[in-house]
Amino acid sequence: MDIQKSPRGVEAVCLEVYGMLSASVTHEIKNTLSIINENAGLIQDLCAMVEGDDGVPAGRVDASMQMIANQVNRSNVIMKNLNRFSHSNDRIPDQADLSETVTLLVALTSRFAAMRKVSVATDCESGHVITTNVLTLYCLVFLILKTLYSLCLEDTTLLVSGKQAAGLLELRFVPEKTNSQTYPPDFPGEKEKMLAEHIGATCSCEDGEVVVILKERG
Amino acid sequence: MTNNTSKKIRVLIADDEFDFASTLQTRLNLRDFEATMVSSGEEAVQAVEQQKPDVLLLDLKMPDLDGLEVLSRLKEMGAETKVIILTGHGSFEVGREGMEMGAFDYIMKPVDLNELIVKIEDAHGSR
Repeated sequence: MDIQKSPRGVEAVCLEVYGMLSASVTHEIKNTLSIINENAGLIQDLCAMVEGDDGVPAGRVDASMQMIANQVNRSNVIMKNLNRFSHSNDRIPDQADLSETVTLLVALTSRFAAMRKVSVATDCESGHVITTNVLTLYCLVFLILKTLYSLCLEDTTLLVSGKQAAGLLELRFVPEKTNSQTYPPDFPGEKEKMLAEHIGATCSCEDGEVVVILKERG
Repeated sequence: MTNNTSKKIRVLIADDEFDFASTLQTRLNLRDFEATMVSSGEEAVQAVEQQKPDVLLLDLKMPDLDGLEVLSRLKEMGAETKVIILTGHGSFEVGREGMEMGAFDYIMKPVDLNELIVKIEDAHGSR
């Protein structure tokens, strides 16, 4: 398959993923801005309370300033991750580190996981680099993670592992416990399979675990 | 920094962003409201049932029950608490949807505190 050109269907799925991702990220940023806004307001309140008095309560001001700094840092990480995702289509093909890919997509989908009260653990061997259409790879991992979060029971863990096996790279997504009633029998579905095929990979479900087999040059 | 009513208006904040909810709680209490907070939809339903606050500030996106589900549960319970929706959405649609489900009003994040206080007092006054 020619990985220079993305078929219309793949482009449409990537656009859909980008839409879901940007909706989630902008919510996160609004949350961080809200906390910054409230703490800036609280500092003003404290200053107003002690006007003409001995001074502002240093401990409370310090706590507010720390919250502001934490939220600026949180926003920066969110934006850095989105920026990396957005630049993944700059060069086709490009190189993607398997472990870094998992770390990035787990971070970008953390809000979806939090909404479902699902924890994510990762166990990826480092140093495995794939040359592929990176955006398609990212979108594939995004869709798998998002689907599995919705299937995992609350307060359980999803394990994502990555390793080299028989000259290929294997990504394995292992939910601790899923709600079997909602597990779609056709998952991975058409979208996941189309994205996998586009990068010369396979995506399948084995006993409740989702397995993606990637070639180092896909 | 006081609200004009003689009896403190009891406000429950339901938001899973702890730092947001706790700071807003502090700021409302500085203005003579009696604010408390919870971090999930399920906790919000329980707190409304037990504490019967005058006004509930309800975030839409929370783990377990989301804001609209909470609204629906409060309606089933016949709760008299007035609900103001807090939304991080870029459009007004979700806020309007909440009002169609019985919310008194909505306000977008980041919140303008003066605007929020007007809405809280209006909500309390409508009881």
